[in-house]
Amino acid sequence: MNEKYVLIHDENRCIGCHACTAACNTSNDLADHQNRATIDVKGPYLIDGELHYRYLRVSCEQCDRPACIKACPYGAISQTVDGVVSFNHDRCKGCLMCVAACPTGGCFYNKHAKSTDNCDFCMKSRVAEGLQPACVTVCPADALIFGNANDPNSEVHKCLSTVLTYNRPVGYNNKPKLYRVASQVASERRLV
Amino acid sequence: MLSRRDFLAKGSAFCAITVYAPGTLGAQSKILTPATPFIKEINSICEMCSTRCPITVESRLGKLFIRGNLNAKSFGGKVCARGTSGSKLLNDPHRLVKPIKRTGPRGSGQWQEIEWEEAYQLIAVNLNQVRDQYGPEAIAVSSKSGSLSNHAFHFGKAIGTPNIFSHGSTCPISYAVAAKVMFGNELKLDLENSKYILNFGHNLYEGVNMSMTRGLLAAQEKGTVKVVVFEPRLSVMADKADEWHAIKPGTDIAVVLALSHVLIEEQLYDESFVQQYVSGFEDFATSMARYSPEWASEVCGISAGDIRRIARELAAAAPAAIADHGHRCTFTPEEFDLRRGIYAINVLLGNIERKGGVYFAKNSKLYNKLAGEAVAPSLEKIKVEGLPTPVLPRIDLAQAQFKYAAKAGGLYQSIIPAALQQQPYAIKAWVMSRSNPVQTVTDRTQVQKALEAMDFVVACDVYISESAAYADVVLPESTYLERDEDISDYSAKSPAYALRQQATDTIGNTRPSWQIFKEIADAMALGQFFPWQDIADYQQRQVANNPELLPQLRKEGYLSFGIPLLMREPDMVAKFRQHYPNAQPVSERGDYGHQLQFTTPSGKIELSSPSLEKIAPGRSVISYRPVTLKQPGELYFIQGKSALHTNAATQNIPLLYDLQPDNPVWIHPDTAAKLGISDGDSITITSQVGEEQGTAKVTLGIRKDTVFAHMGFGSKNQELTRAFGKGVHCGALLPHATAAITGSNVHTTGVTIRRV
Repeated sequence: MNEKYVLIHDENRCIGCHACTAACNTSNDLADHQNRATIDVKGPYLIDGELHYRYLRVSCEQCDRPACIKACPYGAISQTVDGVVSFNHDRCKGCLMCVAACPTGGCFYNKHAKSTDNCDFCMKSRVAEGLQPACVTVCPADALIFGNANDPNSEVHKCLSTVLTYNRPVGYNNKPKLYRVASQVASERRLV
Repeated sequence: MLSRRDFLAKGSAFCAITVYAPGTLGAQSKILTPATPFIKEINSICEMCSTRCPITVESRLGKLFIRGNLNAKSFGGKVCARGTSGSKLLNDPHRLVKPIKRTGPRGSGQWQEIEWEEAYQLIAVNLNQVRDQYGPEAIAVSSKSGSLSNHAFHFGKAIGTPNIFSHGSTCPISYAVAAKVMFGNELKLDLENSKYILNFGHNLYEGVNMSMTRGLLAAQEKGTVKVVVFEPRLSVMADKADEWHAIKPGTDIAVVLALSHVLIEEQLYDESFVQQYVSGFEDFATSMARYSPEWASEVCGISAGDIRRIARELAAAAPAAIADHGHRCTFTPEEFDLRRGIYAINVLLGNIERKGGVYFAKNSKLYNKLAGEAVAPSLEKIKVEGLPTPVLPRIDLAQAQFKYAAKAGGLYQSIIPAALQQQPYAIKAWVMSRSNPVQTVTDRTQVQKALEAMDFVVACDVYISESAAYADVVLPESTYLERDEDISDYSAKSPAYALRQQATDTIGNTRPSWQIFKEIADAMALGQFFPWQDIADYQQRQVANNPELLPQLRKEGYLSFGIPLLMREPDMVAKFRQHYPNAQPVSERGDYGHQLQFTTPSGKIELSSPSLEKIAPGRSVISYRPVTLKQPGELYFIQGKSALHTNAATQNIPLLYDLQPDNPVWIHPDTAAKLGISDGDSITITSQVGEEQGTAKVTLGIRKDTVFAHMGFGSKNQELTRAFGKGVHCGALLPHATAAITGSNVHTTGVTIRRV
């Protein structure tokens, strides 16, 4: 069986500290103001008489059937056998069709690479070295879990089998590989 | 494919994070090859904030990636946003990498690059001149505390000045002084095992202090802890707590004293603990009798019912219950009794040296004594003979009440009256290292005037900070990634050590502070007081009795010894004795309670301190004193930390600047509506000492009578190119005020706000 790499963000654990954002930036050699992944802390919302923030990871959703691949005229975006979508910077002409096609704003124009780019779970860098993605490596709150969902011994498999997760809607019959454990108080799914 | 689960789990599962050995993950990704196959790892210590987490610096063909050092278990191998951005500081083209001297008026921004030798000569001539004309005490030396400050402070001693200051009085000094008076030593918190945690604005989820933050997260993850936060603003800490009380700024002490009142009145306190370990309980109880929850409710606005309930819940969870003494203790002029009051709750709960309570660091000396064998190596204190004895007392000892504060880093702000009014005597020169008083000491105008009044100012820093901008000579210090440093003691429940070491080549012409101060001393003919040749020699002297420790530390970066020990926890003591057959015998309660020693005058925990009465009449017993923090019609102005910046040091660092370039002022929608202010409006904030321009952030996460801004922004000096003029300069709005006994700067004041 092929691997199926997934990332899970637990909104209950996340403290919105942006360690993931900063690690992503330094690990992937991005311009100072750019990131493949970040945390959007919004609020506070008044929910059942209490004020709470919402912690939402914003990065490429790693769709099963990515709209960006269909949109790219240059074949610069590819999906590996384990389903991870990544961008070939050499082929990209910067036409931004992928950026227009993405329903969640997951890809962006990388100023250093002069190419569009996405969060590919650090597949070509840290994961290829046998390490965890940069954001997962540093997260002080252990709010991010990464691994092969098809391996029954992996943490992500255990988590997906025991905890209710959700995906952001990315279009018909399409499932992201970025999973989220909804905050019990203020998730994207339960805003007032 | 994974199917949808048909059973629901509540909330998060506890997914223990597995750390994969290199090569186990993605090993089968046949089509992927690493972009850069070579990794070199160096273990060191971070310096992006004062927590100083043990880190591992991964280096791929010279490109650095910083993560936590997995050897330091309580830090979890993690770093925060600041920690992982260390490479951005290292490679920032705006960093100072050559010594410079001033060519125009102070603060004019006119500089000339010079060589190190010229800089040293310039410093030596000018400091000698001040010393010969006014005496060595006219030279003040200040540094942010930490391993990097040892050499600057030693330089001060070599000159013979008593006026050596850490940044403590602008941040944590109050809890240190309160602990010194009450216990003789500082306390640590066992958050991870706690069942109930009271938190007074100690924002551990934004002012990330990795081992504490992770301890708290672990406790909350288990779901067995209740966290109650008192804070005027909805911080992330308050958001994640079980209960948030938006308390009126500066009135935490009312809650604290009323909690003690209920614990005593309802006999919910640990009487046997008090009998065995406490002196001054009767005076304390008499004083607390005055502070009923109903009284407190009038002062702070928290309902009496809530206070009673919380006191009972605390007692029910004891001893695994904590009142957290906080970190930045600059809320009120009554910091001393606020922090003592918080400690007193812990004493009443009998949680000292218990699981889920508070404890003292177990350094090697104590641990080895209890174990009856040399479990952990010890560091040697490096003694230097013949240091000159200062002639005059420190400037902050003009008032006897600051006796304890003077030993805990001193009153940093006392340099200002000494410079401007020669009170108690004149300070004429200032040597500062990695310190930014123009940002952190209250009343910026006065701090600037003090700097302008000096005969000579030297600053040693990685940037031309807002304070360095007023110096005559600025010396470029190597960043923490480019330097070696002393071995540091990291002991917690058992002894531990960590080492900072150079992780990358030095950029430009910078030098580490150990070298800078040794070389200035050489230039001033004080070289005999720096007998070590270099830092390697210094480290060798530290490990004189355990030479094998140094190579181990160089390899591991962090080493802990022995097993965790809390002295009044029978299970842990039993385990300890199994581990160490020659360990000390236990008391009849089966613990080491009889070995617990307090270095106070009475040898006990002093809930009241008779010795304090001599230096500060009326202060021996903890009591409430009303304070005025603002005028009627004004709003309280408070500050705090974000997870992206360290008070006054990181605002110019690329990436961190990009993630948080300024500090919008938080204001409640009702208050904003009254003032005709909308979210994002430009506003003017006025206090009795200053006026600042900022932007409004209209949010429900703040009291109606309070406004909030993150500390450290709004630099008024162009040298910090990115941070210049961005946001509100908090220090410029804060009038000068000092807390009694602890000497803490007070960071709460009243302001008025109007739309521009």
